[in-house]
Amino acid sequence: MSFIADLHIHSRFSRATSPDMTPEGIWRWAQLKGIAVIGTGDFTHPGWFKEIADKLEPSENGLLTLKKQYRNQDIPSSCRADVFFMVTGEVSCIYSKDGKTRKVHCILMVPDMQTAARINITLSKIGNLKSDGRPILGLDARELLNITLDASPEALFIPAHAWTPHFSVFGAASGFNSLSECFEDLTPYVFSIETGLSSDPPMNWRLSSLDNITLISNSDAHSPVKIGREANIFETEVSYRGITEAIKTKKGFRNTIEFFPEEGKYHYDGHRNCGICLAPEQTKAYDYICPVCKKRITIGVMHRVQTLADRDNGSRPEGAPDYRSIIPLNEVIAEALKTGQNSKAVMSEYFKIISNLGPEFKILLETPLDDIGRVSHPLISEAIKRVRENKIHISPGYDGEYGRIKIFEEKDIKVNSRQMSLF
Amino acid sequence: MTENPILSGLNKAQIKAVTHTEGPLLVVAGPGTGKTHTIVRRIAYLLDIGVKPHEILAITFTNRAAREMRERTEAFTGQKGIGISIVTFHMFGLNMLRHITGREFTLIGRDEQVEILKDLTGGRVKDGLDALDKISKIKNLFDEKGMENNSIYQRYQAILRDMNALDLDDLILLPVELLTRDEKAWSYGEMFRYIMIDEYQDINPSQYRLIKALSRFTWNICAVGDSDQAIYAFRGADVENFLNFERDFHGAEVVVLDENYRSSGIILEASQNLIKNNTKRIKKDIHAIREIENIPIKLISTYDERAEAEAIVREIENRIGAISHFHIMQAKQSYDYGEGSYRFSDFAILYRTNSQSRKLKEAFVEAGIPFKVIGDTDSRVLKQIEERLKNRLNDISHGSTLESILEEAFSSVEDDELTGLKRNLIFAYRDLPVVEGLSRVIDELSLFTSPDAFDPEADAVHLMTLHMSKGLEFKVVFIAGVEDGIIPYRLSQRDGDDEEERRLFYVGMTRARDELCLCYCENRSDHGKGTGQRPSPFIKEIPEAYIKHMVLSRREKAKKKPRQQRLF
Repeated sequence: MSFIADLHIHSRFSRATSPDMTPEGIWRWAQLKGIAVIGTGDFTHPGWFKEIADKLEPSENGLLTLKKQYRNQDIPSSCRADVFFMVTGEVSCIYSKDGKTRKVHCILMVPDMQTAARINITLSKIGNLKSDGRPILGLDARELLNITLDASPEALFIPAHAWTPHFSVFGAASGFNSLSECFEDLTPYVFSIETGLSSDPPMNWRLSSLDNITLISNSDAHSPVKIGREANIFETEVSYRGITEAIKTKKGFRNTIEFFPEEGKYHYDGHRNCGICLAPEQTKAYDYICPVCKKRITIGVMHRVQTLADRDNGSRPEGAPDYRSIIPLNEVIAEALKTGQNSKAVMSEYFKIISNLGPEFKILLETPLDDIGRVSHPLISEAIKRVRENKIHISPGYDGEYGRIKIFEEKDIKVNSRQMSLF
Repeated sequence: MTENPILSGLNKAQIKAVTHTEGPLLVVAGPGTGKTHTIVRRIAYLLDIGVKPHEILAITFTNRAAREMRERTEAFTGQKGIGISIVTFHMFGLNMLRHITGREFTLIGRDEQVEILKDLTGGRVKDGLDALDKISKIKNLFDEKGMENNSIYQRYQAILRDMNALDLDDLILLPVELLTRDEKAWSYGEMFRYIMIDEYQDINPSQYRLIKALSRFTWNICAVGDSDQAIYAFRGADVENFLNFERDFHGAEVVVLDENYRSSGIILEASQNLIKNNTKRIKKDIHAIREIENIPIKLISTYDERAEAEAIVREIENRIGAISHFHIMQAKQSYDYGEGSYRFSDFAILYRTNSQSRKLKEAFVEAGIPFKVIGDTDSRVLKQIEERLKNRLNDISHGSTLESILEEAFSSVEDDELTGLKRNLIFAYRDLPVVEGLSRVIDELSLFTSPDAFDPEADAVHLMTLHMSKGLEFKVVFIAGVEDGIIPYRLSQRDGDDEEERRLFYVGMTRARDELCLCYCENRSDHGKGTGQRPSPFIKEIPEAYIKHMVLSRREKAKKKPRQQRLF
């Protein structure tokens, strides 16, 4: 069967996360979004480990479910569905290799809590796990991969948001130029990378060295509403084995659901505090020095891809899974209503739509526009239409600043408003 | 003439120390002058000129030092080095006693000593501990009066005799005694024709007697050490032994290792200027060999110890770069990521007293920076739990599960980190049969760093007392609480030994390779009354030109641009 999975999120025990990132809250929002399998995140954290051990229970498919007594949050009937949790975590490796400080974030997926516990024991010998749900350890990423494989051959290790400048395997600031520079002899055990918000599959297709790597996409959500802003569609059995085999082999891995990469925080180069946003060519013209503060410019994902690419734009390797680009529904509504993403008006419209028509992914990807038009503001169905047709404008994100979406020009809104008044 | 490979790469003084094999030799080895390197080469040289491995004895103070010296010797000499005794004082005593008495005895540890003494002094642990201190002092100082007159001492010794037991201090005392009267002991002593003693400045009177007793059989005694790094007076060590070496061992040659391979010129000069204010020392002039940038010593003054901890964290972040996205997003400026090559273990924070570590730990937890506290209670607690579980292993009652055993063993633990570890251990091994699961848990726990050990593999910022830092080195060293009353440390009732305190500060300063940062607060609540702290008088002994002063006063955050000012 086909189902959607988001395998990288954070709990309330991580820094700068919402207090609603509880097992119950994640369970609820997975249903609102239409996600069947979601990562627990943060299994390394002692507090979160206890909470998932207490509130979740193993099911036969190698995944976990929320215990019945905790399923008491309100879910619209249109969205109700089974949600499975996969035990996942993320570790920030900060270390020095080949004379350079390296900072690489890594996602760990494990078949059960026992494996998670074994990894945690090893990691507690190295550093402190309670400071942050995503612990910082002075540990070589290759060694972390080794520890993961030692704990269980079924465990999966995936470099997180592989292109972001500061904390990733290919990052401009403290990453590597290839997977093998980082993982050496263990490189064959890296089956997949997470592309991150600021890159999409076509950008990654420009590196022939990634042809055998499965490109996955996850939300890295710090709050419930961000869950599923990127995700994966599998066509396999709903089980730990089914999912990890699909990631390893691409068989059963149907496609990813992507952010428009321009909307990501590190798509272009620049300096947030200097208000400088530059395309890669412009950065080169400035010789990598910020024209405002004269410090080194933060190099974004597009630039980094161009640097490491060995193929032209537009090439597509054989057998590469497809992808769909989306804009999260609350952002679409906010754009249509010209109001804040998390405003009351947006959220009430959001719940109205999903209560009537089903979970968010269904609305964004499948629901006939007419149906959407019937239950919501006509500008919203128009906006979804444009997103589906990629007829939108985004000013690119840079240096930690999200890109700005523009679905409508000023005139569109006036016209539509006038049409509205006719009804 | 082809150069002897054993001497290759050594400087003049080192060669002299290596090749002077006959007769007494004092090697004055300042910090970073390649002391162990020289000892290892000296051993290799002895082998090379035909000395048999079993004729060589090298004595160190700590197991760590012995292990390191053994490993480095083996790496250099290979098979030829097998059979050399590279041991601690205690190990030497134990080997000797086993060899010449041919009987087994029980070695009792601190806990058992306290147990015995507690009963002798009326049942209170506190009194037991006090008595232990007294007895240890009598033994270490070779206080014959005390031995004859102290009734607790005599009753304690009688109990040990009845138990056929020895304590650690006996491992020095007994050999001294045997070497004066036992023929078997003589033949054991005669075996060692070449004796080296590391950290000679730290020997106590009874260790001194042991060396003297051994010197009756050979005059080839090589003492290595540094009078400026004598920091164990509180344990009964006496730097005078080092200063008197030439008198004690007539005709002794003195070699001063005078090239420092560790620190920048500025750090070395600053520390030399400080230590020359001591009178009890052998004067020496060391110069820096590393050609690196001379970064001034940073002197940071803060409002209180919390601000001090935050300033240190900030300094580390500035060098290692952004630690998390959270930090990046909070920063007022875009992060300038340089070409740095720092790792967490390049940094150490040193302090005079353990109580200072609390605020520092909090700041590191808050920043999410990995750190290790040497001598931390966490690792002590883990060691205790490990012991408890080992005892349980032979005594598993019917129906007990791994979970119940671990819950009981961890019952007094409140710390989240350790509670989390307990839960992980239960999850990881509860599916195994209880005995097997428990053995696995014990194996896991044994791999956690032992309480006093510095683990060079642990890539974390290291926090430790100045005493613990001896023998270690780090790229960047912070010394916290450089305040009058802390450095030098003074108890309210009486003055401390300023020379000893200056040496301790000197040891701390000379741990730094590239950068040294001294911190003091205006107010301190973790140490005595606390307000109106004044900077340590030792700071004035460092030439002003070497110092860059940074004042972070009340509420001023470390990330603001520091205000520069002249020091005094």
